[in-house]
Amino acid sequence: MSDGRFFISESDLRALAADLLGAGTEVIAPVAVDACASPAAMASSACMRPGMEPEDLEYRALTDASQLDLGRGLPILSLKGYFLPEHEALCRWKQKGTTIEIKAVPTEFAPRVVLAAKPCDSAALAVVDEVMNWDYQDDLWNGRRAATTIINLACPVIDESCFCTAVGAAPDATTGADGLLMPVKDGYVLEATTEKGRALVEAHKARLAGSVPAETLGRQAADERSAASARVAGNLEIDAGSVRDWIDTHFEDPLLASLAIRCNGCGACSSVCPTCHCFDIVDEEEGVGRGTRRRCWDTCQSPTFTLHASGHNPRDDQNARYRQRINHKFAIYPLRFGEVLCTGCGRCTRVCHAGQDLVEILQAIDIAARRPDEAEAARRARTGDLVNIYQPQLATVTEVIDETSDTRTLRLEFQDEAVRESFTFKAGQFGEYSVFGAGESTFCIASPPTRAGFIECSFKAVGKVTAALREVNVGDIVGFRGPYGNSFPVDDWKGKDIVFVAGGIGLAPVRCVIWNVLDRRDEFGDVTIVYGARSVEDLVYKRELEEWASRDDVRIVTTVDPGGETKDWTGEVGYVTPVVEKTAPAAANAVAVLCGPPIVVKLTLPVLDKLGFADEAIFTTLENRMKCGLGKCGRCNIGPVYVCKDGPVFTAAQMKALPAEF
Amino acid sequence: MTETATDVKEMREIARALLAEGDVRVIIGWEAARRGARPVFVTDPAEADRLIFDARCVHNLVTYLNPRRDHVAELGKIGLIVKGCDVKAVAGLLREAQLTRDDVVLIGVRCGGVLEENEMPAAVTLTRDNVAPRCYGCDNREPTLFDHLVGEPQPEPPRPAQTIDERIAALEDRPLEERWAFWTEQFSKCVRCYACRQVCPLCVCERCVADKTRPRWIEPSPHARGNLSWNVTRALHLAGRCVGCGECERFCPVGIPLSLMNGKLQQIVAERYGYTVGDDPEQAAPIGDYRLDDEQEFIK
Amino acid sequence: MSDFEPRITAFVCNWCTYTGADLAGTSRLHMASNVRIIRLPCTGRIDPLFIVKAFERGADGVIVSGCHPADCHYTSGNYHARRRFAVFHDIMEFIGVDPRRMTFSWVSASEGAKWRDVVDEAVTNVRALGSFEAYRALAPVEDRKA
Repeated sequence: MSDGRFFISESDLRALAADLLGAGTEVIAPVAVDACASPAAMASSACMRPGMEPEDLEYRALTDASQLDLGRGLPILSLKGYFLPEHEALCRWKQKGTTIEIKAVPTEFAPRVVLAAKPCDSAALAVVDEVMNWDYQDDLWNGRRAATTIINLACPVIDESCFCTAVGAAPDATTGADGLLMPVKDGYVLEATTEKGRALVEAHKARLAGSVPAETLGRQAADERSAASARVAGNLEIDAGSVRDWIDTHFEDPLLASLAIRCNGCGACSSVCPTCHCFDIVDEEEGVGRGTRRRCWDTCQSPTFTLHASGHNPRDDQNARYRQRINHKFAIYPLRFGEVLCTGCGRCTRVCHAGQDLVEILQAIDIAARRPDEAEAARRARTGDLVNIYQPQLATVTEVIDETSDTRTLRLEFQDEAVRESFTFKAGQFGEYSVFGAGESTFCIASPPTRAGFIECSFKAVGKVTAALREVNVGDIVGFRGPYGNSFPVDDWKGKDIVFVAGGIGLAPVRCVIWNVLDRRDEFGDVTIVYGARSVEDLVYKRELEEWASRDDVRIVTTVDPGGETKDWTGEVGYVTPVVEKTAPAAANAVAVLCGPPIVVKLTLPVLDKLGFADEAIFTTLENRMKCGLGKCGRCNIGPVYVCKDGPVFTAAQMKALPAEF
Repeated sequence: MTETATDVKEMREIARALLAEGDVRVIIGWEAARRGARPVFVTDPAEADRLIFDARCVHNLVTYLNPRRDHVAELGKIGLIVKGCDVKAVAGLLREAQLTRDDVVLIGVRCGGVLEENEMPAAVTLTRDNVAPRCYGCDNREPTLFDHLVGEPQPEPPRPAQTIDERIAALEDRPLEERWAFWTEQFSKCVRCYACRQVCPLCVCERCVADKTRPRWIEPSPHARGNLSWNVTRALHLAGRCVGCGECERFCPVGIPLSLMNGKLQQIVAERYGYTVGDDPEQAAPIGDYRLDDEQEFIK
Repeated sequence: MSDFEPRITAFVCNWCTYTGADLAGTSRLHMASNVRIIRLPCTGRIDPLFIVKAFERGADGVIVSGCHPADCHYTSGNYHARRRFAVFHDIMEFIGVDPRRMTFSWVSASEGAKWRDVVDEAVTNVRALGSFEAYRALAPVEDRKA
């Protein structure tokens, strides 16, 4: 046939697989296994019941073409693991004394082929391509995508839990893949849909034939395709846009809680899901001074997924976590990237033995919704050099200041001279600081961008990484990734008065802005600082507080909580909020920068409001639990907003528009 | 097991009465759904007719009594429908002071065995090929801890094609290297979803050792080495506590044969310490207890 | 591989075995030098995870040793350890770890010679079994030296 479609018999298809294997190409395909049996051990009798055939499928790298299963069943796990592996090295380190050597991991991969992929699994790859390429490009993912040619095998629809057509996929689609095999009498019709697919077809022309009449083939294939689509559409039909909008505007609706009730939080659904991509980043020591920093699959259903270092957990019960799952897949991701984070494969329903049924859940939401809307899709062209966005820069600790008994400031200088000279950031941005072997932790950059050559961070030692950071000395090496996030719009404040309000260690991000402003003092109006801590001992940046007090172009009011004053304390005594009220900074032509423990922020906002500050003129920085810092690992979002990318700086107006999940 | 009309009618009546009188705020039992039986949370007496009981009611609902499961605890006092085997899990929670007896109303139901998989549109008769292997040798067909008891006495379930002990014996017949190959292959499948932990009625730690970061005892990545550490730790923490409900294996999305591990644990504590997990909350668990003359043949 | 020297980690209790090992040292008893000792207050403190971690980090074998039953400084720590390690030993063997890689012993403060025997026997056994690289290799690691 000359219309780009070819006939191939089953034996020729296996021969094609054998050709690829013979040439040393990895071929991944569905393989029949017994879920329990090990090909490596003789203990298959331990699990397989006598007389039973292997009944499960897995995508595996073939060792022989005879393993290729063309029965069109659904493999237990999706293709996801071949592009975002269950665990993957991001970099390796070796430390000797104070020298650290980082070994990069490759981002280029040998070409390989997937045969007989499920269309829902390939479509999922195209959906996840979005999050892997917005702004930063994940070339561990992209490298594997580029190296892989995927040929789908049209699906007959597995059972009543499939719903691919309801979310924009189809049993014979080729989205995310490079070609399609359509079963017909005595074999398959092979159609390539991309350059890569055509290259594969071209290279194996010898196995393809065109001698069966196109007419018969066409009709057979078309009949089956429409029958399959009708079958799956019969399982579920929804208006994805209405569902998205309903979820987006019904965050607190009891319907979502009632649908989640039997969920155990086991995370099995996330592991089998082709589109779930949330991951964790961990350091694993593998010898003395040696180890690997890996990312590994994680799930928003895990109880500690959003646990803050302070112990606060915005999603601390299973209802909230299950709601996040539905929210992320059907509202947040579509709003953000224009695609539903689901291709209707139905695995989550089949693997949930507590009875959570996604068809039932979506049906219920669709019924509640019925509102038309349209989704937007945006793609960005790839630019720039291939680089591993997870690999840290090395920095030497040049100064250590113990601010209080549990808070410390480190000054860091990048080892690489080029980085040292060119590194810039804006006030309010943050980074991922790491001690190799302990892991990464998120802090703002506490030094101002107006001072080049170094960066500073301040932190309280409350967790594994901060405890390790508390042990570093001058001359030690730490890792840094950044700068990430948005920033305070300092340039917009020219000519205005600025009021800084901070509590406790909340002064760290504010301090960056204060110095940024003071280093450009004549561009701004009055500068007022109100800062409070639990006690005199707990005040951070004590030297700088004195320095600011000694300036006559700054008004600073320092306060400690009642009971926290010392005998010679000359500042205010009282909680930050009433002191702000008493200080009564003028709101006309002023902006406020506010940061502190959640209770301080919550109580101070109404005071600022009373003083006349509009919500758009109050700026704060949110400290959600963040891991990757780049908008990929899925952990920090509040509603549709990613704190690491749309924040961490928000106005009070923006904060009030967010769902109450922080 | 045969489903007789009396089983369910009486169960529904009791549930309705408990809810109507406010003795409980929610009844947790099983209902029939699109894909078979599944847990149901009934708060309205008028909905009590959703409750069913047949061979598809495999789930151990005691997992919902886990004190960490806030969203269930928030519903109020629970009336829980339990089979005899489930009752052992209740006893386990009582033994470890994770549950106060007065905080739950138990509706015991007599059982004649369950299917290995609950995903069937209608109940079917049990055969050696479809019965849950864990039902073999059950001595709890009539629950002993209950506030209400319903159902007709049921016959013994059929013997499965291969019992768990037979499968363990087959594995132990193989040489060490083959067992290592078998288990490392199984552990390499693990994706660390922690379904086994989340669904287990006895996994109630507020902070699981796997989540501990200071220090990080269990490597979090799902390579076989980290997975071995996790699975062995879970096994050890369940020694003498596991009630053999098989939910961990049933929930595992990648099919790791955890019942073999759990079965082996039960054999160990039975052979060494004469202990079988039972439904008496007063009975002491073997780990945490000791005798002066415990076996020590492996110690030089 | 005639030049393979096993690395053995020993978890021992402070009151009996550590002192016994010290006695072996001051008595100048000759014994294999492959063992690194980690001192803990009591065998009851030893979590089986320590042993798992030791294998993960490069140990080819482990020794766990403490006071004889009835001699525990904390009265019952070793009784708890005895049960715990019985289960651990059996499960590890079930999984396919050769039990000769794990040596359990009661060595009192006066049994310097017994400590020497335990160490020598453990080292001989593990040397014969070879490196436990197979354990570390369960996770992909580059550039490992055997």
